[in-house]
Amino acid sequence: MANVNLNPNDGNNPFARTPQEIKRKRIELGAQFTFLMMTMALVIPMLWIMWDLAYRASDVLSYTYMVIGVGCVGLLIPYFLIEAAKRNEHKRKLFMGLAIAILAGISIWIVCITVFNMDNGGFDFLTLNPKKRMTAGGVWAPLIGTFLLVLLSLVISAPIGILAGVYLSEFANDNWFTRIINLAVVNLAGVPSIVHGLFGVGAFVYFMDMGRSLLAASSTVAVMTLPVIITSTKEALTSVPQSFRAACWNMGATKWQTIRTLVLPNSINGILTGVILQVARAAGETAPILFTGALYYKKIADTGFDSFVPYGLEDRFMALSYHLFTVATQVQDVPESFQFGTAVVLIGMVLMVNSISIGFRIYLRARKRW
Amino acid sequence: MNQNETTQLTGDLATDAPAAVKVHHESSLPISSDIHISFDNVSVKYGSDVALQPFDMQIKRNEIFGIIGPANAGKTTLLKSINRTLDFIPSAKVSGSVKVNGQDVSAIRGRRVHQLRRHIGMVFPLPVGLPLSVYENVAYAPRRAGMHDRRVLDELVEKCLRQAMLWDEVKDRLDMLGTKLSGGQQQRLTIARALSHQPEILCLDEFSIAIDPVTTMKIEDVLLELKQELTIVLVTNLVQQARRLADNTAFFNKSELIEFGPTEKIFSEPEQQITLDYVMGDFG
Amino acid sequence: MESTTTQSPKSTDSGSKPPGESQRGFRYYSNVIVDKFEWLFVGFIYLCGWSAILFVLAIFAFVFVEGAPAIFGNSDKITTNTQKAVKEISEQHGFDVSDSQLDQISAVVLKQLDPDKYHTANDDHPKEVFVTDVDGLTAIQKQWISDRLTSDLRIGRIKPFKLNPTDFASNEKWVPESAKKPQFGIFAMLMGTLSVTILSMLIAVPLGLGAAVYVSEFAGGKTRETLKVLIELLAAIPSVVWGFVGYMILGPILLDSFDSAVVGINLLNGGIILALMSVPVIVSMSEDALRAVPDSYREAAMALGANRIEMVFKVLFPAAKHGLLAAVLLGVGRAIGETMAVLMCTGHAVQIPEGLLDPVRTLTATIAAELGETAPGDEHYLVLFVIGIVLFTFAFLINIIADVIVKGIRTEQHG
Ligand SMILES: Nc1ncnc2c1ncn2[C@@H]1O[C@H](COP(=O)(O)OP(=O)(O)O)[C@@H](O)[C@H]1O
Ligand SMILES: [Mg+2]
Repeated sequence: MANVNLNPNDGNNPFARTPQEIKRKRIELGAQFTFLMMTMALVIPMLWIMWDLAYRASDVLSYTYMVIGVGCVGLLIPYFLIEAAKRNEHKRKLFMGLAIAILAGISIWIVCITVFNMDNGGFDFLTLNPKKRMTAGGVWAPLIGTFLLVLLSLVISAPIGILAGVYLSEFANDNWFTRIINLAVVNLAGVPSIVHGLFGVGAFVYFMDMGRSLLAASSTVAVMTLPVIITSTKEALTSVPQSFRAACWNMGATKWQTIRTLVLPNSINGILTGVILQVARAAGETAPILFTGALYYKKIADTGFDSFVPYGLEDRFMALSYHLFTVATQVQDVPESFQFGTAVVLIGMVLMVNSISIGFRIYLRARKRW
Repeated sequence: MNQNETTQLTGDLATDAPAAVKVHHESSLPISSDIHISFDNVSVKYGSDVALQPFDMQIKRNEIFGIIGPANAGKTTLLKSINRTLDFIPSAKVSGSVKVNGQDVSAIRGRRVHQLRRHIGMVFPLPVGLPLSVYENVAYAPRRAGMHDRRVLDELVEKCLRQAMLWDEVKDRLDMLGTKLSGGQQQRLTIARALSHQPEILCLDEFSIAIDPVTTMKIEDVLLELKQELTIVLVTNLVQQARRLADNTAFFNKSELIEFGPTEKIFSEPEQQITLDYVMGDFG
Repeated sequence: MESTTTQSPKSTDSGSKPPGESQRGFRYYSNVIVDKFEWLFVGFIYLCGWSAILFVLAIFAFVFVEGAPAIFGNSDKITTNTQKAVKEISEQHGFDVSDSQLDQISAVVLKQLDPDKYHTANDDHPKEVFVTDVDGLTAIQKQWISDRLTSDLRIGRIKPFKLNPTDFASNEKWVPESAKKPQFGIFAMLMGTLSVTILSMLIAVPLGLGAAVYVSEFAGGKTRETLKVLIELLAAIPSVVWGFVGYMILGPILLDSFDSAVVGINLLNGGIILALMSVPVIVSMSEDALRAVPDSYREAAMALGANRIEMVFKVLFPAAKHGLLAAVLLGVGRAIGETMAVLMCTGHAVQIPEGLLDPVRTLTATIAAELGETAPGDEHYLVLFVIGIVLFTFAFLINIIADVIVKGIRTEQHG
């Protein structure tokens, strides 16, 4: 056994690497490095852009950053405590974790004070309406407009989309018509959003005579998200194996009973993930609302109930995405921090919703039921 | 062929048979009321592929009826034609009439179809544990039929699990997911589910594929007991299993019913040479 | 098996057994209700399914129908605001005007107009309008309507118009609002879209494929998950934010670093931003395609002594070529259809670009910038819809080709 000698030059060690092997290893490392660099060429500019946006918005958002930072640390403390308790570790370690968490919180706070200018009043940027041709105040009016837009479009598209997905994958017969519809649905998901905007103008604003309004814009956004919701619902439903359905049918359950008791409970999370993703998309899209209802500026109530529901269904409204376009390109003399602040609020909203959906999915994968 | 095997079929014509049903030549002989399932000139096509050539066959009440035959002979298709789950395969087309208790199943409309399916327990070869708790797996069908009394359900679940030889293994973890059981356990869970809606007919399609031989023997004993209460249709690729259990046996080959009759006759002196080849194991 | 002695299948229905009184809780009743009204729920599902199908068909119909007059020609038409004005005045004075009365009023007003006199102006109005022969209106009501129309009658005229397809596709001039002779040529904008798309793909495809290879072949466990999440978040950033980044961050940088650059927002800027936007699509789709290559291919290549570079280029890429092609196509689709980002960072000049630093304008940006200024039904509006049809067709073709390619792989693998 021991005299199996792969490398005659090195009689002592049969496992010594041959020059070819070393060369090969180098090539491998080189390749890995090259591909890593290509990935980094995407990731690093991204992170840098994010940082730049956040930094240049800090004049108006520093307080928000701090609250969110401290809030995250605040959430981490109980998490650490629970984890430590779970593992039943020594108490000293527990307090160490606690101390580290508190220290981290304080240091974030100090960084906020020193790096960002802390004197800029609290949550004002989020809670005040735009004033003086957008050069003062905040983004409340567009923020609430986007919120209402998303809510309304979701109210339209989520039930129709989900139930249509159920219909198409559970009830519809497989014939040429449904095949065309399925093809159309898949392809509509890739149609440019500006075309959906055109559809909204033709169908809702003029044909259905809604005028340019919150209702027309919401309907347009709903129609834009509809194909994607249908597709993701269908995907979630087909992930439930057919044999489960057959087993239920064999026991005399009707189609609807099978769907209600077995298919939906096991796919609802996947369906919701798809819907949440569309919430983020609806909040960020500009092109479909450009001509169907979004407004450059609208004065709304500063306080009270009216400031929470400032736009009726027939009214035109301000939306955050359009507001960003406006303050960046259409209005003069807007302070830089206002422009960047608007961008950060929009990204923050969208990424938050997206993270929820991603977290949801990771949780789902961990908890697979078959 | 089977038309000659009518010596045992005596009695009155089922009185509630729909008048419109076309009466096939030999089966116009009197049919006994202890005929539980009868196939009159039944054939099944998937699109243009013939899965079952026209055939006549009768299954008596409270017997174990064995069906043997090589793969793709149409045995599974035959079972599906009994409880009308072929409805779910759009390309499948059944002609002729399958009668259960003298009633043509294709004439059943609306919700009665689900009652028909509840009347028949089905076990297919691949184990399917539903992603519900073991308890809910078995209680599923009774609940769908409107039974929600916990005590009645408890009793029923225990009885069915015992009959499927699964009770001892799962009695302490009834709230575990059915999908997390082992393959053999899931298959027995499937059997328990098939019994849970208290069917009159139990169809078993190669049920023992996923189950170990010892448990299979125990389940076979249970089947012999259940015979007092149920009609059992046993599709099996184990020829000896049919020989052990079945009172009558049918042999299918290449979508054709070759012959059927008392098991002893099929296994010792069948009318067709091919049947003898198959049961002796020198087939093909 | 209590029921086995019975003969009829009906009597085995266990629903006939009454459940114990004590157990009739909320769950029991909700189940009973839900099962009882099954037809209602199923009906609702059918309703939603069909309304979604209608929506889907409506999208196709509306985009095409709105643009159709430009392609097939529309007829000369005079438009007035009579109906709206009458409705307003009747609301103001609190009386009802029926639809047939409205039609009569419109006819009367049109009769008093001399069609030849109102060719262009939207705000010309005749000296006086008299609403006379209308059934069922009192004299004072007719007077109110006449006064209102005299002071506020707007007359428009939609001229006969038919787009010349070859001119539309090959003319470089886009002068939509000219009163004398509007020109509708999309060639320059087509070039704009094309150049931005090609430039962005030149950047995005190598980077995207490289990143996909790294994520699927080299990164392990946690790194892969993190990168995938990052890329997914990248895909979620709204296009207006990308436009903002191009306009506010990248623009000044380009202006500083190239002496020859006149403006920071130009072809290069748009290309880079679009590349960053379409990379996530390319990465995630190619990653899927690479993952779909069976591990046995990799093992076989390694067993033959290939190093990992050879494995990637000689085994993985050929094996996954359909999926990678589909990924690139979908990236192209996203780049062509992108609106807000290119509107904000390509510089908005209708011209055929001669260098990387020239500003350009794309088809999508044109719609976004100009639809707001048009009146429904007029030439400009119609032509913008025709551009919409062009975009729609592009997107559809790309999707279908990608679909066919991906389906192609599937059938290849199965048989
Ligand atoms: N869903 C289906 N669609 C089309 N053909 C089918 C389907 N199910 C079965 N078949 C065909 O019908 C024939 C009989 O199948 P089956 O009844 O499953 O046979 P067995 O159970 O005896 O093996 C086979 O040739 C099979 O390919
Ligand atoms: Mg079979």
